[in-house]
Amino acid sequence: MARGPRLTRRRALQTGAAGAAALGLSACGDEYQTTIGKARDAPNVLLIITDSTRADYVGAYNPQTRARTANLDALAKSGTLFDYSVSGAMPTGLTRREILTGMRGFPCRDWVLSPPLPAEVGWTQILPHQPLLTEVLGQAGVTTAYVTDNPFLIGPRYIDFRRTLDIARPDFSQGAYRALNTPFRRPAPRSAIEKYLLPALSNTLEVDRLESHVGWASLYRVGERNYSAARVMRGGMDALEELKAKQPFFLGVDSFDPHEPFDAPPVYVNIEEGGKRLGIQKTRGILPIQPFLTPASTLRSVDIDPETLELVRDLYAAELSYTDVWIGKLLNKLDDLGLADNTVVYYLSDHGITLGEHGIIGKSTPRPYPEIHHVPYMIRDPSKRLAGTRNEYFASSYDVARTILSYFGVRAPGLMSGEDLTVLFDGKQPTARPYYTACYQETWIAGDREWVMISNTEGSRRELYHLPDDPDANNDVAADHTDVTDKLWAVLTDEAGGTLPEFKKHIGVVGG
Amino acid sequence: MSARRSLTRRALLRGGGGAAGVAALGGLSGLAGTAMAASERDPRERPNVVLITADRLRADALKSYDDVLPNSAHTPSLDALADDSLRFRCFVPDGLPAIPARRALLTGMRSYPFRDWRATAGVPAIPGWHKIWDFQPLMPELVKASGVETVYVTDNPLLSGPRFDFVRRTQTLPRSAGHTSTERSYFQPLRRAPLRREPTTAVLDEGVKLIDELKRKQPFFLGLDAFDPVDAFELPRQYVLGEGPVTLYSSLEPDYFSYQETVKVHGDGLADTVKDLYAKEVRRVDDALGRFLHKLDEAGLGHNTVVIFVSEGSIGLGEQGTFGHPAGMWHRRVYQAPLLVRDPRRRWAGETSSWFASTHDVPTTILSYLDVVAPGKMAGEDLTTLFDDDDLPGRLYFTSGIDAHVMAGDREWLLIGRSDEDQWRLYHLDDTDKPDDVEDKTVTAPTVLQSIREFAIWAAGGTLPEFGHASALRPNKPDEKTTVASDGTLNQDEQDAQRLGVAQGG
Repeated sequence: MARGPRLTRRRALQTGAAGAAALGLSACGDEYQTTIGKARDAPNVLLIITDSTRADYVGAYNPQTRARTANLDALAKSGTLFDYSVSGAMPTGLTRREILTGMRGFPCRDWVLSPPLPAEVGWTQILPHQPLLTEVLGQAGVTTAYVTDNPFLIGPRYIDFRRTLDIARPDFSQGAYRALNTPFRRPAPRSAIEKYLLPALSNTLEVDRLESHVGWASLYRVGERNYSAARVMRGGMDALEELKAKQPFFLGVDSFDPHEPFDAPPVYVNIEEGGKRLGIQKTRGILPIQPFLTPASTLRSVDIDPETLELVRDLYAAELSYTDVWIGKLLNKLDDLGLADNTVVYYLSDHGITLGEHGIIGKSTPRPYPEIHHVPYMIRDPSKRLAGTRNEYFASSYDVARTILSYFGVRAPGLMSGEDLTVLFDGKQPTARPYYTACYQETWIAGDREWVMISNTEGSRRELYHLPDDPDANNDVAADHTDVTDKLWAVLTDEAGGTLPEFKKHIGVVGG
Repeated sequence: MSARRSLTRRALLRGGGGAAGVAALGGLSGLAGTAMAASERDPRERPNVVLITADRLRADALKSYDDVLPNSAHTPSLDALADDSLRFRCFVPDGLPAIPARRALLTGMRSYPFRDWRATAGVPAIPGWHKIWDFQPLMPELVKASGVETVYVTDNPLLSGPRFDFVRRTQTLPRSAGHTSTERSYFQPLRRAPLRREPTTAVLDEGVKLIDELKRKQPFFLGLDAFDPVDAFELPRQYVLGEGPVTLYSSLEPDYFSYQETVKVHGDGLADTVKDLYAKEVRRVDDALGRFLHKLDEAGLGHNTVVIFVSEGSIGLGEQGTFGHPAGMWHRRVYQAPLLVRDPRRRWAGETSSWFASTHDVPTTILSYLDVVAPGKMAGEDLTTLFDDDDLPGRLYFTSGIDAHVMAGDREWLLIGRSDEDQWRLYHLDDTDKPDDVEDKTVTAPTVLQSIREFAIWAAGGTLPEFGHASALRPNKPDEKTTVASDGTLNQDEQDAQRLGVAQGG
């Protein structure tokens, strides 16, 4: 069998070359090749991630949703769905690091400023000593591919990750976030964005974002297939064709949509029909595709009235519906290529978005209520075990790497701290996880089936909600249940290793 | 073992692996086993596992290790075991001494850097000294739950309570009336026991007795943990109990509580005297081990039993005139302990690995042998990977802690720092050194220091904890204008940051 040059096993042991390999591989590559065993009959894995997807806008979680998510619902029916999944660390960049390394991002103690990533708590590049899902898979002989338009993953801080891939398809269509990478040099003129711009945002950074977004779209968008999610899913389809001959493979398809701006292709936005023009669209002719000042605004500060809010929710739902359609096309391709029966389909989102709840619109760091932290999470087993079941386990983003490795029969590095969820398909339970603990940057989230606590870094502002009575988390009952907040605070502390860290904004971790 | 195809990526790209992926899905059902795919595993019974934990045995007390302590004991049983085992030459326990190292040995979670320390009643208030917390996984508990007969012999009083029903004692633990187990002084009564058997002997002899019973209940897991309550927080027994003439030199009070400072004593021939005494102890351990291994063979279990022999720590025997607990000592020998893994099929017998194995790798390894999926909280590596001719993930440096000290290093360098102050001492280790005459000056090598220090801090999660008198502390947050307005959105400060062009997250 063809094999890369490697040390004899004896020499490998005696010189401790396993340790050297991690260095050697990236540096020179040829001197030593790590071998990792994998199962002979390993399936393929297709990992689909959509950014900013709220669980309660997905039909499988909430049949009354205004979005049409037929494909995700069907995926849930043929797989197992996790009732209440909370990513271990949010938002985007933090969750991606958890997914790719399998290590917990909570409590962001290892945060180091990594420009041009945002100078916000927890936004760290993948650090040199962290394991990488794709690297371990590559060493085990799995073909790895990743398709994404996520502006962080295609940016300069993720070169080490992209280097581990056999097939990498970055997509630079997220015009609004081009500034993180190569700045976009052809922004639209101000006149072209007036129809999207809320008057309250007319003098903010959102103007630049919209100008870049509209500028990119006017240059490159010809039809629906040029919208970002479509481009990513098409990239996934192309990759699948290529990967069919290179099984077993791991393919990540990571779509930044339905992230704002919420400008789905017009066919998904039915605002013209049946007098559905609402709010500011009716009065001023403005379509609020970017309805807040990133990361969040109050409804009051951006002058969003209830009708306009309904419009914003429709726009978000349309964006999700169109992303879902293209997920469907990707899954069809999997079927057409005859791969569906030996490919695991793993779907999750990183976080949601607040659309008017609690008087907030956007993603407010100190207010990660269920609409932010409750995300869809489902796994379809190739042999359809557990099809159509719902699972109470608090599955999370840091379980992804270990679970995928287990599907390939590859040992997960010990540093990966997630659980192996494949045991569920054997009728067993993973290690009990009675509480979920997470952070949205410097805000802590802890909860169980009944309670959820949101706390600031110091723990001086702890909010507690009783979800069975108050699913939208409107009624803070912390004052009446200090025993519960104390318990959840203790859980957070234990999970964080003994103490919770302290941060100084734009500087770094102070200690703890 | 069965021929396996560990496809390299390159081979796969060349087409060598094209056929490998056409899945026969029948094999999938077994994939969930900890690590090994069912399709590659011979359908055979799970092996038995014996875990022997020695107390403060230095790696260089074993003849089979590279450099041997002068005037070391003759250790035929240990050497024979080493010849049948894979040796880990650079094994440093994850945290020192007895209490943290054993916690890692049982939970598989790192005890370093002791951030979870909370002073426990009855135990000296030293960072790292506390019970196994309820939320931590417990390897013997998982083993037992998987249907394996589980017995763990130890006199460690911290292993008590409802979760520890698998623990068996060699003697009755003294209990003070009216105190629950968490309140009593764990060690004091034991110290006063007038006639105490040497713990390793006691525990291994108990193991000999148990083998006949366990033989009928295979597969079994037998833990033999020689926990020495005196050694656990004091000087070597030689000092305290007055064996030999050493006490004359050291002039220590019988109750001298000397954990935190390492004792520096000078005297002619003192180091030799101590080493002779130490050698006698090692000899006793070796005898007891020999009896146990002989019994194991006699019972016909030698070839379906994994034997893991590990020492929970090491001890200073006069390096730079220091004795006892190696807090802040700058000699690698006082941190290196033996780890021997004897595979039932004797794979890699007599070989040596320089990978930085540690105590927290042991539970994952044992669970892997028993086909139990290790909980994600366990941070160790599965050492059976090596027996499958695969590689362990890289571990560039070892990291360990004792008290507030942090030790990290590799085969060439040793870095010692204190978690409460950013002061680091770097030493260069020369393999050809004489143990009594080591370079005791710090070395200036900023790049090396930076690299090891970064790793040590990264391995600690990102920061090193600060310790108060009863727990690790959260520092006070420096004065900072609040960034969040009362309605939960951004205030002026944040918006200023935006205007400055600080990118916001997606």
